[in-house]
Parts: sequence; structure tokens; C-alpha cells
Amino acid sequence: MARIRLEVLLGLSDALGSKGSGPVVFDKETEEGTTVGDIIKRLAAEHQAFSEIIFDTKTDKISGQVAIVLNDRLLEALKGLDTNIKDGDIIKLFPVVAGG
Amino acid sequence: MSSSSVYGYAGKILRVDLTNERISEEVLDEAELRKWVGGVGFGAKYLYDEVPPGVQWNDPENRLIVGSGPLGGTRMGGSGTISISTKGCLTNGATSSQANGFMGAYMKFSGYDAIIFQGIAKRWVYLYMHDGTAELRDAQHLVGKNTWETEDAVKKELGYTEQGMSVFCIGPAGENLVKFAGVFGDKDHAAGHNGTGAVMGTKKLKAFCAARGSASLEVKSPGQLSKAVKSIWDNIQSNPTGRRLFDWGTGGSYEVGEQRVVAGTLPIKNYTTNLYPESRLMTNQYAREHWRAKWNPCWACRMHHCHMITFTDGPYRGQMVEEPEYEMYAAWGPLVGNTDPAETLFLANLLTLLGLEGNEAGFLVSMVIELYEKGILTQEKTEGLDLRWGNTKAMRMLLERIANRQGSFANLLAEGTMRAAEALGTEAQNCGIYTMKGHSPRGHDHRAMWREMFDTATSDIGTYQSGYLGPPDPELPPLNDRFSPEEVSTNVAGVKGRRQFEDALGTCIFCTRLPLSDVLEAFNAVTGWDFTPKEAQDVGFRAANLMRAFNLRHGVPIDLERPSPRWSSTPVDGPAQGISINEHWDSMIDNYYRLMGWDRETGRPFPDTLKALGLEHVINDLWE
Repeated sequence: MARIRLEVLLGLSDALGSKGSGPVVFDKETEEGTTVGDIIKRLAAEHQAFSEIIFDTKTDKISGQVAIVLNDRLLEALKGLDTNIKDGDIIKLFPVVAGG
Repeated sequence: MSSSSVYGYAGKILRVDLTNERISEEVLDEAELRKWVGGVGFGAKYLYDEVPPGVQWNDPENRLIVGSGPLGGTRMGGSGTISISTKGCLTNGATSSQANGFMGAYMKFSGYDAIIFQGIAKRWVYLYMHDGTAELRDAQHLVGKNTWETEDAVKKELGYTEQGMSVFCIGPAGENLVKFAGVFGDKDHAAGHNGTGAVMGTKKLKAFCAARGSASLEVKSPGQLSKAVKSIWDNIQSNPTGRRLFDWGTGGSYEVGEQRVVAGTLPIKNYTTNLYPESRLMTNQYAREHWRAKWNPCWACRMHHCHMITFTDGPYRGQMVEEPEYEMYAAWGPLVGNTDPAETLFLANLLTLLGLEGNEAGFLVSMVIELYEKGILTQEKTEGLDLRWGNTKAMRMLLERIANRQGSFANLLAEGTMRAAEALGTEAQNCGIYTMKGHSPRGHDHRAMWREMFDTATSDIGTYQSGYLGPPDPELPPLNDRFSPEEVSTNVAGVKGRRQFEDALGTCIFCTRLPLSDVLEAFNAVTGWDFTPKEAQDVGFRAANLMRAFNLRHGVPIDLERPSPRWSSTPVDGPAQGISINEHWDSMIDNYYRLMGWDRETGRPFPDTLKALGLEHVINDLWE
């Protein structure tokens, strides 16, 4: 088993029913071989509003407006959603901020 | 039907011949208005029609076009925005740069949808618009004043209160033809890209101003507009990104500050690292909680975006400055190695006072600091300045010297990042951050934002041209993989025109950050037209293609559509470590040109592309 932490930040946390201003944090235990994609899909299955924001309705892929970071590295710098997780990993999800 | 009888328009275009100090008025018919709408649409039209190849940025025949649009001055949020178009001096090509505030509303209340400045005045002048008329006035006494002093002096001599008039002007940088001088107004706003202020300077035009007056604009369906505006405000606040912007402006909350580092998009020490633990300090939340903040909204805006900040402690205690936009936090905090937020606010405000565009200045100064830290530039070369990371006192002196072209080193830097790098040698060219067309980008680390890098490097207006950052719009292609060469280049092409349409409306893009169909509810209510999203985007696409044609005819080569080596380098640490765009660049250009309907060899829009946009007259210019 692997113990991991999932942090959902900024406005994305609203979609999980959060009323506060800080992140929503989940400490989870999961089995060996689980990927980041598996974790996110499970969370989306439990929260419809979150699912609608995080997935692009046209393509059913993770929206480009959402950034995912595993242990301070963008998922794109790793193996994307297929990246395996290991004990102690921290995953952060947040909307991309740009402009201004 | 002339523009005087088209809903949403003031009815007149003001032409100001500075050489002869002659003012005249023109009208556009309804068909022309539907084709160009306003703002950058007007800019593209007049620039292309009236500035032929061979005319340089500082020639009398260059134009400076200031445009509002049909939503300008209505109840639509942020509808005091202007678009300034000209042939700019950094890229030697077309420019379109927007400023928020009040000018777009007030110039329409004064009777004018747009102003076309041409010629070069024999003396320093400023333009005064009020009550359906306009006049040029002597501005010799304003020369040397900074932008805030100029605004105050103009209002005082004409007898207006702070809110009774909008003034846009240049500071010392514009007067001294610094190539990244901008046009600043309403104390908190700038249209600064590609040397708009230098163009004003060369025309000896110190300022233009418009009275608030009592006139109002006729809209076709006021009730429908009210309903659309309410819906827009509700929708902006109902999505996380819009809500965050509504509450905190672009400078953001503490979380936003942290997130920029986590995402790898914060530019730090000239892209030499992606680590910056102090990012929470470089936010509006920090500024508003630590000092006194006063809301300073633009025309008809409800967003808690713009504020003025008065320092309540430290060396600047009692001094009021503008609350920076995000890009200025980035430029004068992490980019130059500064971790003191008070210094960031002070420097950002200094840029406004001097009339310097802050993104170009930030990348220029960070390049110079890196060269100094490496020993490539000595204190002798910098004429006594100890330009180390975070030495804001030295930076302040450097910026003041640049704005006044004081000393040979500052005079060299006044030419902008790329030209300074070329003059300083290979090491500088290796670490300078700029488009090869000659303009530094916006204040991000674009190595984790490929879309904006690609858009900026291929842009025909000096800064990014094709962005849309709102909730998903069914009319636009999605961007799911932000590091996919194909998706990124497809998205930039597919979104092209959307932003130009927004910049034709006379409104702030933060108030139209919604699917186009939502924005058109307001647009159609004002004009009485029946625009579809496709027709709207075509307006913008037409302007973008015309700017493209302008640049090609003016000799801006397409092989410059690349980032400088450092801008496109591979991050050595941080979240995007190891990701590189360079090897994909040519394939992205291939895909982009194909989707844009442009010839891969020459960059020219194909005749069919131009014909579909009603630009038949351009076909002969480009292809025969």
C-alpha cells in the first residue's frame, strides 16, 4: 500500500463543496501500481461538479485549464496521467493562472 | 446609414493633422462599422490604408489610432477601454495595445469613436476633446513632467476634477523616444507595447484628454443590455478563475502567488531558476492587507481589480502608488531577484511615472543584472551602478537614466532588450528574453506556458494576440495538453480573432472573459445587430490578417517568428524541468500556417483566406 496526499487548490476546491479559502486535502491509501490518472478519476467519480470542471466535455480528457503537479514537478515533465504513484507522494491540482 | 445614426457609436472619427494643427471629422457607414467594429479593427483598417511600405515608425506619415468601440461608455463593465494602433518601433511592425480606465467612454461622450493622429507637430501639443468638439493646445509647459504630473496639470488648467476628465499622456521616456515608452492614463492604466509612447513623442504629442461631459450614448435595447450585463457579471463570478480575478485582480491572492511557482510560470532571475519562496509577498492580497488600499475601478466596472495603495510603514510611508498588475509584480519582484514587496510596488509605479512599459523594462534589466553578476558587465560599463539581483536602488537609478537617455549605457538600453543584447554581444544575446521580431514578452516563464510563447512569437502586434482565458467556449478548440506541439499551435490558430474582436469592442478583456455567445448578448443589444460568434471572430480574424499583411509589406520577415535562445531554453529546475519546446518549433509553425490559411514559404495569407474576410484589396498588394 502507498500513502499519498492529494491537494486541490484555489477555485477547484469549491467544486468539492469547500466553503473555505484554503485547499482541500485528502490523505489516501492506495494499492501498488495506481497511477495519478486513477486517483483523479476516482475523485471525479465521487464529485460531479469537480468532474465537470476537470474534464473537457468535448474530448473527455483532463482540461488544459487544470494543472497537475506531482512532488513539485508538472505531470507533463513525468509520464502524464500514467505516472505511477509511490508512498509519500503529494499531488496538487489547481486551475492554471495566466494573464495580467 | 452613417455612424452618427448607428446605435452604440458616437458617430465621428476625429482626424488630427499635427503638422498643420488641423482637425477634421469623418464618418464611417454602417457596412464599414460591421466590418471593423472599433478599437483594433479601426486601427488595422487605418494603419493598412494610410501607412504605406517605406514609412518608418518616426515618419510623419505614421499614424497613431486611438479607438473605442460600440460598447464603450455603456453600462457594460470596463467599457472605458481604448485600443492604440500604430507602426511600432520595437518590431518595426504593427501594434495594437489596450488601456483600461475611462478614456474610451469619455471620448465617445465628447463625440468621437476614434482619433487618428498623423504628422509631426512643430511644437509640443495636447488634444482636448469636449462637448462634441476638439482642439489642440500648447504643451510646452508640460514637457519634462512625469505622467501623473501631466494628468494633474492638464486637469487643473482646464478646470476639471479628478473624475471629470480622462487624460492619457507620455512621460519623459516618450519625450526622449525610448523604444519601449508607453502611453499612460487615468493614473493606473497603460497602452504600452511596441513603443506607442515613442510614436507619440516623435509626433510631439504630449497628451490627449476628454471631458466626462453630460452626453450619453443611444443603445438599441437598454433593457436587453441590462439583462446581458447582469448575466455577464454573474457568469464571471461563477467560475473559479473569473471569481479570483473579480476579488483580487491579476495580482491575486496568496494562493495564486504560490501557485505560479508550483506551475513553473513565474519568471525568476531572468529564467535562471524556477525557485522563489517569497511568491506570497508578490500579490495583491499582501499589499491590501499590509497597506491602505482604495478601490479604483474603471468605467462601469464592479471588479475589485484596480486599487491605489498608500504605504503605511517603511521608507515610503504616506506615499500613494498604483496597485501593480501581476506582470509588474513579476517584473519587479522575482524577475530581478527582489523579495521586498514595497520595493516592487515602488518600482512598478516608477515605471508608470517615467512612462516606460514594464515588461520590456523588466526583461531588459534582468538581462543586464545577469550579465553584471557574471562579470561580463563591469561597474565601469554600467556607469557606476552596482546592478546585482535585488539591488532596487541601483535599478531605480538605471530606469530613471533610461527614461532620460542619460549616459551612454542607459542610452544603449533605451533601445530595448533585443537591440541592447545585440550591442552588448553574444553573452547578452544568449541570455536576453525577447521575440526575434524585437519585443520582450509578457511577464511569465513561458517555458511552462507554450501557448502564450508561441502566440507571442508569431504575433503581428508586438505582444500576444490570440489568448482566451475564460471558461470553455464551444466555439473554440480545446487545449488539453499544454505541452503538445500540435494542440498548442492548433489552439493559437483556432482562437485567433477572438481576442481582436474583444479589443474592437471598447471593453476590458477581464469583463468579456466568457464564451463569445455571452458577450454577443450585450453587443447585439447595444448595436441592434445580429452577430453570431462566427461573424464576431471573423471581425477579429480580419484585423489580425490585415496586421499580418501590413507587417509583410513593411518588411518584417517570417524567419523572425521564433523565441530568443533563453526564452525557449529548457528549465534547469522547478516543475517544468527538462521540458523543451525548441525541437518542436518548426512543426508548430507548419501546422499554424496551414490552419491560418497562410503560405508556408512566405507567410502571406492565401488569396482565398483574404477573400473570405472581404480583404480583396489586399490580394493585389501581397500577391501581384
